[in-house]
Amino acid sequence: MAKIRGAVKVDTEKCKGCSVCLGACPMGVLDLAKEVNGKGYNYCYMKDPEKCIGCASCAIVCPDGVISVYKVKVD
Amino acid sequence: MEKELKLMKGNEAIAEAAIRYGADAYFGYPITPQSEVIEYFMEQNPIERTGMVVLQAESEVAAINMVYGAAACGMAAMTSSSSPGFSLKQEGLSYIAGAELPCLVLNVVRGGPGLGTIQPSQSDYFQSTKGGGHGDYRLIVLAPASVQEMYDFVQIGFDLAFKYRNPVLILSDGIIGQMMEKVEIGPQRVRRTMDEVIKQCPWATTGKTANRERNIITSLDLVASRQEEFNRKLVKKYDTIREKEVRCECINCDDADYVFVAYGTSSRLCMKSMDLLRKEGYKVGLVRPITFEDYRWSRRESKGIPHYRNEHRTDGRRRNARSKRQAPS
Amino acid sequence: MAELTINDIIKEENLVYKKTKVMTDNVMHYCPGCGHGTTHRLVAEVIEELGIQDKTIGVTPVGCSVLMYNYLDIDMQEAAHGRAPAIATAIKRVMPDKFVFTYQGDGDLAAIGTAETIHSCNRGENITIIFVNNGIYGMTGGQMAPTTLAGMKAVTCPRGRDVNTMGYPLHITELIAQLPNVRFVTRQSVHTPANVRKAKAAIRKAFENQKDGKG
Repeated sequence: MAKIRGAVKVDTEKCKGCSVCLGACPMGVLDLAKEVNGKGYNYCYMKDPEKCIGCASCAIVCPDGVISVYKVKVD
Repeated sequence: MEKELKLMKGNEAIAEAAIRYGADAYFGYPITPQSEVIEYFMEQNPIERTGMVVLQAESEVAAINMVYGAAACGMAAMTSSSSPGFSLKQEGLSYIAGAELPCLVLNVVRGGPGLGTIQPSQSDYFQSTKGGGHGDYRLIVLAPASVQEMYDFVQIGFDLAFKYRNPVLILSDGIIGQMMEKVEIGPQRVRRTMDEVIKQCPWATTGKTANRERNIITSLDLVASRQEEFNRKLVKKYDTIREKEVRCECINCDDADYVFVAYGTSSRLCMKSMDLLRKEGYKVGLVRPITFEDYRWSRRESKGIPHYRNEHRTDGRRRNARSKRQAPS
Repeated sequence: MAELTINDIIKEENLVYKKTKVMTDNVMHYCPGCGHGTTHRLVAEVIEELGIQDKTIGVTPVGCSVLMYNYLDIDMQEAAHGRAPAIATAIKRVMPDKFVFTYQGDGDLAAIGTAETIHSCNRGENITIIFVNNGIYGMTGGQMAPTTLAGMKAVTCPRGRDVNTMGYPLHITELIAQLPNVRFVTRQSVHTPANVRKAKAAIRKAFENQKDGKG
């Protein structure tokens, strides 16, 4: 059965750590990093990349447009 | 070619002049004694004649902001009002000056303060010459003394507005707005095409095409140093205007012992007084500022009359006509 | 079959979503999580999808989104407080083939600019007004807005909005919907993916109405 694998790329320097994407993700992939970026925000990252289905929900709600989404079909 | 002459009210002349100039938009709101401006526009239906947009706004505030919107698109836009309404337009004028947009505004002055009266007055002098709204800015002010000048100053006003990207005010009053005089009317000019507008106003918000950066019209700069720089630039612009665009009329000043200094309607009264006094043997002249800004500047120019006359353009035709009439002394 | 690594997935050909080119790369000044960023992006995406970047002129308000022109790569004008609909009216009337929108907050649109809002809508101007309501004056520091909820605290009503002295929150959207010349009024939010999609569809529809001259 074809399986969907996704991944997100976060522009960590522009992320403000608002965590809107965390709530939007249906798979619980995302979390805020313990580290901070140049502006002092705990930026968003993929805690559980295996689970990502590339649905782009996180990117759609991201107020700062810092998330790009990629998706592949795996046989 | 035969001249086209018409008997018109000042308020009508200005509207006809705008249509013939090829202006793109007029936004107004009724107020006595200038309501004939918008009435004449509506009656003429300029959207049919030239494609000019005319709209009655919900307030003077809306009207001047409509002018802002159209002017920011590079359009030749104008509005008109009378004193209380002109006060309401100060907010918009400040933004227009701050965003460096060209536009033409007519104030048919009536007495004040407050609602005051609907009779003519020159009481908006300070408001007109000091900017009027908040912030450091100046208008280019043209003061007509006849219906013909109401007509002629539309073209001069728009040309100055676009040359300096600055709002131009025609400072009239209830007499000139309401009285009827013979007006020589110019030919109909064709309105600029969109391509011509873009060529003349590359800064205008006409839609960001691939070959240029986006255009932003704003009067906001949160960086204090840049705002200061901008203010200095404005001062420089106003200095240039002061230097190059002074217009005035000097009559019988060569041998005068006394001179009247008066603009607009008052200058017409002074002209008659001058004639009467000359007949009685008094050497009286008249200086009529047509453009002016603030008092300090007017005084400096008028204190030494030869200096005033030598430096600035005078209307020779008119002066000669007057000189002929005066009795030899 | 070898396990896919993240780097295998993150390739140009697998891209399904990224920020539209109609947005600039400037970092937005909004607070973390603020819906302005999302709404800006939706407008930008609609402009890109309709292919009208060269035909769109936006008018920004006074308030938090006063600097919207830093973030959208289109021609924009900055309006005086509340006057955006008047400005948009003029732009559309002098250039009827352009797409014109205003982007306004509740203080701008429903308090100081009520007259401009109501009258531009009443004339049926063929423009799009995007009204972003947060029930507060944000930029100036949390003062009561016309849309502040009953009982809600703000720095100018520290004991909560008392409807007896300060009135009820103004339902401007419903007021506008009463006007016969208004084509399309809708209320949307941008806090979940589903709502964001709906909001985008609404903005798109509003722009398409302009195209069809429906106002």
